[in-house]
Amino acid sequence: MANSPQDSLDKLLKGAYPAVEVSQDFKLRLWRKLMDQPVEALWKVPAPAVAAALLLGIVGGIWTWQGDAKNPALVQVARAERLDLFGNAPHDSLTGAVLRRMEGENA
Amino acid sequence: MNDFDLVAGISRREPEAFHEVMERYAGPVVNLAYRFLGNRADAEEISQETFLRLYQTPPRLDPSSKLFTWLYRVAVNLCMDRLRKQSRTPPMDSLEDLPVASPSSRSPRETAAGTETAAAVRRAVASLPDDLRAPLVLSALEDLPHAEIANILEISPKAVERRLSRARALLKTRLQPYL
Repeated sequence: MANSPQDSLDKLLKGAYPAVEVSQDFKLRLWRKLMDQPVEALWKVPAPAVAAALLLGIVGGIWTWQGDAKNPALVQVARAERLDLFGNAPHDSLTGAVLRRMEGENA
Repeated sequence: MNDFDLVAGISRREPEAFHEVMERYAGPVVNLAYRFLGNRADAEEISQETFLRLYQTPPRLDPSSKLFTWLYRVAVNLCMDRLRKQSRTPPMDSLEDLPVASPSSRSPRETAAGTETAAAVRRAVASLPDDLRAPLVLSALEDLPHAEIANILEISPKAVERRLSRARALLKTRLQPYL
């Protein structure tokens, strides 16, 4: 069966482009380029987690601020680290209690 | 591992998955790029860029998708961009100097004649418009079916057929003395 013109053309084309070997250092060079890739930035923490943390912080802050008048016991832990301008913890806070104990003061 | 699992592994930054992808696809992608660009150095550079993009932004494959479609699509686009930036006739490797995967055992005279013919063929292919060259390379040199070429080039199968028909007609005219 005679070759069709398309077969002849395809044969010519294939003959002009023999398969080439990949360089032996191809993978090594690629790995080096991969090593040069920038480290993933911390800001790429999933957005929902960041949003949830922000929301929790905002709600918690409002709650402790408002909760003081309603139920001091509930907000005691949140208030524990709230210090005044001189670095003193409120007398009735957790931090205050620890400091007094450390300094040997009577509660 | 199938392609879906390999891409999932790359997304998790597993070196073994990326290594496996390179083992499977480095050769085909380099050869594909070589058939567009005509020289191995550029072909390897384009291939490395293709794999870097895979690493940076792994595609979302469904379980039935083939990774090579995505790799070929990226490689073809990178080759086309490179060709647009270069002159229409990029520097081509001499076939005599090229490390081929299966060297022939022809006589020197046959080799010289074949080399001249091959150079003429490659010039003719390089002179084709980009939209005709891509389907021709993928069909005649990569032996891909029209549907797969359509996926890679993101055109319809009918468009692939039309472009192939035009590409072949042009090449037959330019390569008549060699047919």
